[in-house]
Amino acid sequence: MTTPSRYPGSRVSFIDIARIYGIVLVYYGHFIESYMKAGSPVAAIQYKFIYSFHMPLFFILSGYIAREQLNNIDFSLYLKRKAASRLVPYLFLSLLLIIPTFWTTDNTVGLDLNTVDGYLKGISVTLLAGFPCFNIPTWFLICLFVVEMMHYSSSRFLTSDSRILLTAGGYYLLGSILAWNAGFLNPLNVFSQHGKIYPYFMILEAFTGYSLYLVGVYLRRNGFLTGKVPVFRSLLGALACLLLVYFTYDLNKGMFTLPFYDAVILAGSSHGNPILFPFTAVLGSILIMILAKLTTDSRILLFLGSNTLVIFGLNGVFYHFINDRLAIWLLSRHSGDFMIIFVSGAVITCLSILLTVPFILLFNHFIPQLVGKPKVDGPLIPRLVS
Amino acid sequence: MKKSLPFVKTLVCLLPIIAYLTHYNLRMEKERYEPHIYTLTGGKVLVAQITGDPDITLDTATTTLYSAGRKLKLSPSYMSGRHLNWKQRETIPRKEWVVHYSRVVPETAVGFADIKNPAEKGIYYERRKETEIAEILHLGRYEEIPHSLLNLRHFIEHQGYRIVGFYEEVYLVFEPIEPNPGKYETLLRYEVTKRELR
Repeated sequence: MTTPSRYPGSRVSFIDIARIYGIVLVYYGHFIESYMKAGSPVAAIQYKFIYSFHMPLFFILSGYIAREQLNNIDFSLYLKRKAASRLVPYLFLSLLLIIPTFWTTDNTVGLDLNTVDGYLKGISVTLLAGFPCFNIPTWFLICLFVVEMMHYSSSRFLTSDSRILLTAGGYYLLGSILAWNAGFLNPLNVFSQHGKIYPYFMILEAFTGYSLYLVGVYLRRNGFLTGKVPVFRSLLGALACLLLVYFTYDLNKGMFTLPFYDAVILAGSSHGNPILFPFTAVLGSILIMILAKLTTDSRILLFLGSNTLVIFGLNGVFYHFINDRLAIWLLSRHSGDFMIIFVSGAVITCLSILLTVPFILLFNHFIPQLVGKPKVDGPLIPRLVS
Repeated sequence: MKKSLPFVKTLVCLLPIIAYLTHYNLRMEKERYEPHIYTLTGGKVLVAQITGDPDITLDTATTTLYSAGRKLKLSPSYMSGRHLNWKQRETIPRKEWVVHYSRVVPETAVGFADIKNPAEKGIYYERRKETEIAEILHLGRYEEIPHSLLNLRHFIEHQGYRIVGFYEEVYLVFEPIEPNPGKYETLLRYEVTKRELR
């Protein structure tokens, strides 16, 4: 088995690039969602296409770089490391976005922040239910944490390809059955009128997330995209994936648990068709991984890719406070056809990501421990784990 | 003794959290059956406009929207029936009621697939705006709805609001799901606005 190409800090370079491509899709998808909510069917189609694979991609990438065997690591150490790199950024980035709500409360999902009760509910849900009311995009961190705990308990059995695939299939099946029949585990319940708070911690979605994570483990184990790859064959492979996703993503209809979103929404465990969902999810993710492998030379992308957690977390600022208003304003000024939606979405995405750069530098300098770098000593806080 | 100490410590830390969650959830459960006012989010719906006695038109609407949903490959969702004028219930005979039955659809729903003459059948898409509403959960038979509506109207009056637009019923648990009418669950809603101070 060959080793994936790495650059200083022992990061897998093309995985970082794939991550930033995924982040671009997150930013673009969230802006397009605002266009969609403002009434654009064209945006709804683009949204559906992106959502058919963009969040599964992150689980697959996490699995790709995960350690296959964890037997020799003490659980308390593993728990401490994962808590420091997932839960601490979750808390920091979620609670950070309480600050803007002092000025504007319009777009904070499902919370009435004109009352103390609203804030109390928001903080309770964030801390006790493990769902980030104030910064929705960070749900992924909680889900990934639970997925990694599942990996710790299963890793000792993952000694062969067939076992990995069997385990992935088992978790996927269980996740699908639960998504359809255990609605009481869905964290979005807290947003219903008089929604109750239970410790959801994304457990419902973690089963599906772990099955995708194991796809990443399987790909890495089988040397997928390790070493040098032939450019022409890779391009052909990417094109094949793109065409397959393009011609199948819209076949996934009528089985979503969130009827107002005709798209895969992992945060709400709404996957749609149990065969088409993993098909587009895996192929779309492979497409992005191939494209990333072919573009590993870009230093800007590598910089952004190694700071995806901050960029990802700050997407909440745009998602909660800017996108909806901007989309309504823009939609009242243009025809809303495919190209205008696409170009304006792309421009807003690039600008939004650009605006996060000063914060990347600021957080990395002063509080790296709070944004996914727990092993680094900082001027304000010492390292969290050794 | 030493081994059980961390367990006891964890339990002591968890107790206030468990107590808080229990208290909060019990309060939510109690408030679920009480009237309240909030802003209903907007969105796109598929509407079947039907005239007649709801005892009959509810079945027609269920069949129409269910089959339209199958043809348009829509995901399952609740059905609601809206009276555009809230006074319709009190001022017009039942068999003349015009009810706009609807179900939520995604933005990707644009055409009518092979539904023939949708306009003639009173089937159309509509975009609904955010609306301030007063709502109560009615448990039981439809014949007892007027009693719940009376409670809701008293609440609206008491809160300093007035009814301004539609009246709506959302069928959460109804005939196709629950054979016992005593267990039906229906949300009753009035569009409201804050009364101006004189």
